Amino acid sequence: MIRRTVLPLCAALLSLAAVAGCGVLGGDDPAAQAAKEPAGSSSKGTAAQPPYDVKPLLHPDKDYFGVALNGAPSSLKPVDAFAKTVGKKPNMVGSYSSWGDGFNAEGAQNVFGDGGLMYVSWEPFKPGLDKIADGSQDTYIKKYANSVRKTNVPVAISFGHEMNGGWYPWGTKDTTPATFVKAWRHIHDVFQDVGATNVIWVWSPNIINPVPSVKLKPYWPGDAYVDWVGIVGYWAQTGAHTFDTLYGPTRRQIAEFTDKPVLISETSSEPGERRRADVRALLGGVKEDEDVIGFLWFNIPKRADWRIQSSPLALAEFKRLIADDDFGFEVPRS
Amino acid sequence: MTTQQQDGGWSEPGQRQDWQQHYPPYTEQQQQQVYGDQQAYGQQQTYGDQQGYGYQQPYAGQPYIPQQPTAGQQHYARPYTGGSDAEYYVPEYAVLEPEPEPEPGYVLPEVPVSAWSVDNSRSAWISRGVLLLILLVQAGLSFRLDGSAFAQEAKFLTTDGELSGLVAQLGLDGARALSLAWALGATALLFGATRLLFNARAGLAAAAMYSVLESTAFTGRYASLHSLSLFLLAAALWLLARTRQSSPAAVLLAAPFAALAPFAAYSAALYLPTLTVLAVLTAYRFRGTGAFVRGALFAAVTGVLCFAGVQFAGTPSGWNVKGTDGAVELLKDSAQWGGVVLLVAVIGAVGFIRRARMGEMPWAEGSAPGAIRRSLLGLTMCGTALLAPLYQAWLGNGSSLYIHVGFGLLFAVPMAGLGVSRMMGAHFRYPQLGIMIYVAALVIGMAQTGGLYRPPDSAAMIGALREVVDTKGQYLTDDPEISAYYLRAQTKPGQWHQAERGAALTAEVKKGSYDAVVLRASSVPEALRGNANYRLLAVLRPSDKDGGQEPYRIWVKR
Repeated sequence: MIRRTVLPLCAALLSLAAVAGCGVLGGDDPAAQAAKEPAGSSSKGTAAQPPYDVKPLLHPDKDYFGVALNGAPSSLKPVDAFAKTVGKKPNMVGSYSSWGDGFNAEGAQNVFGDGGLMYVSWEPFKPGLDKIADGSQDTYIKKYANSVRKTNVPVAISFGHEMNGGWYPWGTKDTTPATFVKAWRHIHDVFQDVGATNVIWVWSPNIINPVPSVKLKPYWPGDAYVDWVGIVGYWAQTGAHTFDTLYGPTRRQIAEFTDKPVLISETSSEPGERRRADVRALLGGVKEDEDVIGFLWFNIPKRADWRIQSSPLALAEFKRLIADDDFGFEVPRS
Repeated sequence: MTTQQQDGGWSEPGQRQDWQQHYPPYTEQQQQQVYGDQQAYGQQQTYGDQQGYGYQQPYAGQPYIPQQPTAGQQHYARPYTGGSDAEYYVPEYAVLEPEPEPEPGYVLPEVPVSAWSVDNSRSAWISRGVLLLILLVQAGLSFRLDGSAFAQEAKFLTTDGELSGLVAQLGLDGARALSLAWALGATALLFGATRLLFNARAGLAAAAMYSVLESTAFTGRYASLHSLSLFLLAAALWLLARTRQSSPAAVLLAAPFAALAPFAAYSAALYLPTLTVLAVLTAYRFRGTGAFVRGALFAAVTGVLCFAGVQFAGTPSGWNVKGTDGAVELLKDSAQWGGVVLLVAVIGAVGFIRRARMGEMPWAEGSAPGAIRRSLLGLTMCGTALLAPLYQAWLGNGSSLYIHVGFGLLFAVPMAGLGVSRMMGAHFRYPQLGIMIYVAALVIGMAQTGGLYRPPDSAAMIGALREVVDTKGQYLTDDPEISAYYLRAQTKPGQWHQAERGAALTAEVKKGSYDAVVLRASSVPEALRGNANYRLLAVLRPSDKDGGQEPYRIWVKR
């Protein structure tokens, strides 16, 4: 009698316990794991990394040291060579992307893998800003944004730089500030819908010195749409030769409508007598000014030989000043 | 041995059944000695005098000495033809008064005939083994389902009631495992109840049908009290069946279980009337009009207990919330979830109403329930399956209907078990039908559970929020329960607020009082588009792209 009742009971209880035990032990509630695990150290290889948060990159304590080089960032060899030349590794590498080109995901990963950040100048040569603004380019924008999102490394994107000049098709000649703003916001919105939150949006006008009549405010998309103000301003043989006279007028105009951090997003000094002084003025100005978060040196021969190594004296000055601890830092890993 | 076998063997010698010829209880040995094969109808104890050949039972106290038959005797020893003119030698004999039957020391009570095979311990063990397999399949079907907590589960584990404090110690996995234990228990009790009401074969078929239901697998993997409530109902049903032969007062054992069930899950209240009717119907056969006393007792005590429960714990909420779901749509859904089982149950009920037994044991006629009671039982069991769908269709509230259908089906499933048993026919003539029904129910159940059991893929969201939240912030989110549960170490439940849409969301965002906003949305809502106060921190897509879930979007204060 006992055997008859106790045995089946035991068998049932045992199997229930086994079944329940499997449940408890086998339980790997991913959300419970996520609530405990420190970021980045996902126990499962397949688990998706959290999206990169660019917030710490927006106001860094030190200054960005950027460079644009032929062949980079698809290959890092030019960057390594440049680093050897100037004695410091840049932490921002510029690149150019024409409207219609795919996103250079490999380049972005190369730069990030090397401790830096890719800076893309996205140049809408073709269909016109009105086409971008009205949504007819959305397929391309979404594809580009998805590519950016999947890369999951920080990327600075400057769309339609030097919009206040007349020399580009997206400039003052062929389009209006309202269309520029509309197109900018539309691209930004598509990126947000897609979820490409790893982008630092850089609004980059040219210095106003050559185009004083063009007001910048109408081109401003709004604080919610821009992370950095980029300023394109080269040190030429003639013209302004101090940090303040070259960038000051532009910055003062911009300061009227935003207090976003400023990056000298494209600069170099024309070879010549003044080049050494220009380098000293630039690096000194960036280092001294708290609102300026860095500069991107255009080291490509184009119209002029903008490469720093073409002037030994200037190069020596550059090496001396860039060695300052304020320039360059490793971009946070996550 | 059943009483029928004994009765048939002794009282109706002229109409003996084939099966008895194969198992002559004690005559074979004598026949071998005396008549060989030709005399296969021994046991002439009571009518031997009619035949007049002086044969006496060895146990009657007079030892029998074998002798060579004479020529006349040989001639006589031909198959018995029921008596004819004796053209043969009739030996001298003395008429002996038959020994009076001794009073039996023990009489077997009448046992309901359950199946063609005799219920012995071997068949009981086989049944238990099959039941164990069924339970393992059920557990497997539940474990198939996986994922993070549903909002309701998270709520159950954090803020609900006092009981949850106990359950919360187990965590989500523990609470789900507990649910599975209740669910397995309910299936086992269902088997027991059906076995008692009909037979073991119907019981196994019922357990098998119930174990593969969408609602069964779901509740078995759902950290809530639904599973406990089902267990309590099944326990009440089993106790009703178990006490069907006892005095009406024994039904009181079932009342506490029935009364507790609605306090675990309010939808169980719908089935208390069914249990009352079953209390009457299951007892009738054995207690006559006492059955109504039984029903009345059950109803009264359950009612009193429920009333006391309401006084003590308050009315369960949510049972009568009206909604805007389409009634036809809800009924269609219910048909998809429980239609197969209900159909089989109806077939079983019709078969049961037509014939009380399948006739595997033609000799085992006798006390079967009458046609009216069979009809009422069939109607009650099948009709109960419609209660939740009809009620919720009337309310227009489809909330958790995929779980609630399982409550009604719990009562229809015994009939479905009988239906499967009937369709397979006497002596398992068409087992393929039973297999087909089971496989169909299994596939349908698996597919439906896979579609319904889609907890939000919140892991990435939780991981991202963990970096954002602190003990002081206020957070607006589409999933406050889930966030509060998983981030209970970092935050308090009061910090999480339910997000709305449209103007309400715009107002909240404009006010800017929340430190983070988490929405499940396919695109950025207007309120947060180009917002200067909040920046989009992350957009987190579910890992299962076909899951139909919108990505989580997290905004944080700039």
